[in-house]
Amino acid sequence: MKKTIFAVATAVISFGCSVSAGHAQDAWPAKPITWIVPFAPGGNTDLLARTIAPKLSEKLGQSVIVENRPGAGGTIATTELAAAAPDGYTMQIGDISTHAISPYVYKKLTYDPIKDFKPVVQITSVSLLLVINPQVKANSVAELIALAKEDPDSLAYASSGNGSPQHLAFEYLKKLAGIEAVHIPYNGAAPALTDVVAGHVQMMIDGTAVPQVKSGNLRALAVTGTERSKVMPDIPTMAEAGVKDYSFASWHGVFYPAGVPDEIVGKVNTAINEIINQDEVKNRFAELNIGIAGGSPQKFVEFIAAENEKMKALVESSGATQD
Amino acid sequence: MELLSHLALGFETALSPLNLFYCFAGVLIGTLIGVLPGLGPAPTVAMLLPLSFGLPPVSGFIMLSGIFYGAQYGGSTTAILINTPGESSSVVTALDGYQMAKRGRAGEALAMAAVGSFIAGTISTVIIALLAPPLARAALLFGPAEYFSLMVLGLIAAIALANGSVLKAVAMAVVGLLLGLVGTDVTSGVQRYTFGALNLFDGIAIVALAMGLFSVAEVLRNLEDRSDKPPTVAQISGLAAGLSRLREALGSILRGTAIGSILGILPGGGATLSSFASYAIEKKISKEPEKFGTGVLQGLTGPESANNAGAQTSFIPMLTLGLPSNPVMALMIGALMIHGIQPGPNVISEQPALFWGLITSMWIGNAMLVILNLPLVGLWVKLLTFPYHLLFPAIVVITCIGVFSFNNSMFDVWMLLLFSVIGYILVKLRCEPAPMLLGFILGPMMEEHLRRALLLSRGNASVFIERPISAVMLAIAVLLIVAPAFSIIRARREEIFVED
Amino acid sequence: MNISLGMDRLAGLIFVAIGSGFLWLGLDFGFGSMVRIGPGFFPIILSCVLIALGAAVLVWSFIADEHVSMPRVGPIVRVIGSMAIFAGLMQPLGSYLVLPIVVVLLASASPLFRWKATLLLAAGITLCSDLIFRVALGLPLPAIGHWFGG
Repeated sequence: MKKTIFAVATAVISFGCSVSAGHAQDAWPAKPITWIVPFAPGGNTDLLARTIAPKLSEKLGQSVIVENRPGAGGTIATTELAAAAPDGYTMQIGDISTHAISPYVYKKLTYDPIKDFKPVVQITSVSLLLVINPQVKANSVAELIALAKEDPDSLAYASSGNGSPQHLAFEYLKKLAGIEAVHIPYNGAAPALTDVVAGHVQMMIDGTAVPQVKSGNLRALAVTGTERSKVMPDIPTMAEAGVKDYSFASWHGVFYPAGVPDEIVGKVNTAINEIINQDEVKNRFAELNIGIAGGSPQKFVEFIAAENEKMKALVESSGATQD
Repeated sequence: MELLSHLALGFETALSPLNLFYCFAGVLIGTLIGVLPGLGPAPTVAMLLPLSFGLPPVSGFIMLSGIFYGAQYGGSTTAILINTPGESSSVVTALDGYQMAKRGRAGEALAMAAVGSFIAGTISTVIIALLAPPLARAALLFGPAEYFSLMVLGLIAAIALANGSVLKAVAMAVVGLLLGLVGTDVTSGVQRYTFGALNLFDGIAIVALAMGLFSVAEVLRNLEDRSDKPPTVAQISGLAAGLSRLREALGSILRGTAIGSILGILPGGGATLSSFASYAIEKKISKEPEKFGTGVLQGLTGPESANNAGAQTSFIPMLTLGLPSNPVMALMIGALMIHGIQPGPNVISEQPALFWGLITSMWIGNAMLVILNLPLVGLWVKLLTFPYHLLFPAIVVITCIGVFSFNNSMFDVWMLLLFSVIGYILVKLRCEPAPMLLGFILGPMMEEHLRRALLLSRGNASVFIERPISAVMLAIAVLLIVAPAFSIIRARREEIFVED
Repeated sequence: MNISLGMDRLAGLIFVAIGSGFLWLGLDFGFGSMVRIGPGFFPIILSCVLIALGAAVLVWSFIADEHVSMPRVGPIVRVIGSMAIFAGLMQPLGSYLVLPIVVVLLASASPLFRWKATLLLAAGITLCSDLIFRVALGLPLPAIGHWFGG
């Protein structure tokens, strides 16, 4: 009896193995691809994946299934991706937080943002906006800095959380401009922006503030990127506004676990580059203040290395590190 | 009349055959998914979000809103029938609704919940049409200090949820407050009580907590019933019997609508508080407060109306300011953004068809909900006659799947298991889980707002009494504590005088 | 065997235990100052309040208390066990295998358990949940688990 069970079990297991081994030999993609979004549905990251996924399915001739796996600021899904099989059937959309900030904020994270992943393509580069409540008596970055220096205790800034890009971008500004401001963290960008619109907090750096600026609820003083925004071309960059060397952009990109063959990475890279450079896609994201990046996997690898260095230093100097 | 032309535009949009169809489809799908235990409005809308991508923006948005109302009402249906509140607000619905069902008044409970929701939906829709922009401005007056005071007030109202020992109820609320602290502390970024587990960074999933404490614990309790009889009651009242009691419940429906409409506007937690607040008020003004928790009609209709009114007015900050007040509204914004519309203060002027079409479709959706659900009441009630020993395995399985669907996380199912055991122990010790759940919801918000208010005032605690709205709420809170104490003292005195 | 245990006695003890646990862990977080209230402020205060309330419940239990009715272990173990199987084995085995096991185990918790009806129920639930949740709603609940190459 025992022997029979053992034989059956062996058969079942070896059947399972042979099936999964079989996939690798077939021409990729031989089965649907899972695209993990490490955040809840409805946000920018989810939106990007859901816009690109159907077009990617068409190009690759296999369905690409978007799967939301939110939690712990995207690090749960990213940790899982690091351990996923490098067969090219599991990929993830990552961002500045999951692949450049969180590893330095949370020391207990088990993944290495550089060694554990195979960067595929940078999708976006999102310039953030320095916005203030219109009650604050400053019409330019220089005036804001003067105000902050005159009365260091009068200004507070909101962010979408400790160690968020919004937090680091402002700490970077504080450092370069030599000013002080109290950090008021929120759980997400929406409640933070709400309190800035209401005037409970004076200022914030965030990427989603464009409609609030257009309607006059907020005043934009500068964009954080190196180029002016297409949506609001009259707002200067930080550097133009007098904060020399300041540049900060949030970004999204596609990652595979380390070990995925270059051939597969190349195929996905080509397909996504074609998709994000379609006018329709480009324009839709431009309206939402999301800039399209694109480029080769190698370019993305170099970019990630540079970003990790920059963010590591910023996290350390801002004191956002947690045990 | 500008409003009339706006409404005409709205009806023109919402009553187009295509939009009417999507509204109905949304309400129907939402109801069908929402009745599954554990699937509240947020996961239902999240799962069905992709359905709207292929539609024109207005139609997609109308359908998603329909899904939202449908899921909300569907959630109330199962809360009443089998004590499975899929989200925090239907916890209150389950308190007296489930007791009504257990006493054979399921038909009445469902019918009155539907009618109450419809009345609340109608009134709050009119409020949105007339007053959306000024109300949104008013909501912005609520800063950290005001929120903290509101949470204190809400927590004191939690005591009203207790039907047994007040001492144990307060202790349970504190347990809830402590459990709510698990996860990343927003203000400092410190991990508290997470034991290094990434799955606890965002805290304990509320759906696992609520479903464990209420629905699985109830299954365990029923299985322990030594009589081995199905827990349903033979005689089940019908639809007509329910509607005949509308007059009795009308007051509570109107009060609930008022509370829900006001609290729903507040971003972050306002709508959640409204059903708890309504329950507390109904119990306070009732002539027989001791009967609450045993199936009092007003204890069901008040919170249900408040819940629905709050759900409607929670659209206000999103539509007028582009600021989502809760996770469902964040999803709605995502739905618009995929069409290249970024909701903001200019939606009313730039997209009048969208804005007014949505508002009128809210009302149409609510009407459809009633038309759809009143005939279904009979069907749902029949569910109770289904043999329990075949029903509960389905309840447990779907609950597990529902909890999993929230974050696509098996960890949450393990948490469900843990809280099922805890919920069962609590039943055994006659500790009520409702105050614990309210504490769990309010705790983190209360702490966050307190600390934020003090950060902003640079440590000056007098902000809480210097700001008028905050001061009024704290005063009410103090009154709520002091008044019963006084009445006890007075009663004692009278006793003494009588003895003299 | 009949252990008589006071309901409030036990509740009070549990409250004190929970409070002490949270207090002990909460001491590490940092109490902070008035301007910058630390992450330990709320946990420490709430834990102390809970311990005090627990103690009050405990004292009260000596004045008036009711006995806890003994739990029936069989059904509880079956329900909890089935949830553990769901959580632990869904990904490796897949829903076609796990759900029937779970449903049968659950149904066996009831004294009215009958094989035939239960097997029908198990097939129905497995099929319906697969169609609704995996096919229609796109939940990542595998029909066939990764142990079998799914």
